[in-house]
Amino acid sequence: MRRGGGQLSGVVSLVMIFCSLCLCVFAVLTFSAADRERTMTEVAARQAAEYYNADSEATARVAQIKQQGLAEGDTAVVNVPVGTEQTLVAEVRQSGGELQILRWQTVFTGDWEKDETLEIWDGN
Amino acid sequence: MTDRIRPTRAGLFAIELLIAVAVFTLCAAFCGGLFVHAEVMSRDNEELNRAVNEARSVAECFKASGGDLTETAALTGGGVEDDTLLLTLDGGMTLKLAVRQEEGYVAGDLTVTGDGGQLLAWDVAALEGTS
Repeated sequence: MRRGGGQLSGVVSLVMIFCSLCLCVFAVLTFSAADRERTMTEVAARQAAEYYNADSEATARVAQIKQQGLAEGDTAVVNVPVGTEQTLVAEVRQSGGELQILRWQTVFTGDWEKDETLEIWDGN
Repeated sequence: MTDRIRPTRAGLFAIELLIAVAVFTLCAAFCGGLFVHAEVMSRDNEELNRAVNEARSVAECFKASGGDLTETAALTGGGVEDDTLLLTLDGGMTLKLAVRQEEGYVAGDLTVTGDGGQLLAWDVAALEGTS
């Protein structure tokens, strides 16, 4: 016992430190992955909600245009913001006595700046 | 009276072992909490993802059918009760689509509720007589 305990005294600490470190690293990695996944899921849910709320409003406006009536061949465009950076564009045309949907599209309307910070070696 | 108890190697080893076990137990308790929290979060994410996918599917069926709730129910596999489409989803979630007739279109309130309460609420609408 004396001999065994003497030989193993440092090994126990080393193994414990290694196991604890592994456990902590895996736990933190698992938690951070789940947290990132939650952020992504919430963003997807918010974007879907924004889209369908905008789609509903666009439908109501197009129905209003339909009630008011358009001249044959005339077109009307409805723009409804989807969140802060996108717009739902609906374009309709009166054709053959009924309203025809020409376009029902989400377009990016947010501000953006061209990134010119990447410095590439030009060979000189 | 002057005799001292000399620390033996076995005694020191036992003390070190006890400290190692104690530290490891503390560490395991903390990490176990993190693992459990991550698992709960992951299940919530999965539930919300499924709710969003099902709600999107029902909303598109509703729009494609021109606001016809019976046709939407036939497409999605739900039931209709008092101008409301009811659909039971996996994981104990319930999807409800309550519709009302407006001028020229059909509007609906789409909600998905789970065990923890309401997961999402959207406004959906479908035009009538458009191509």
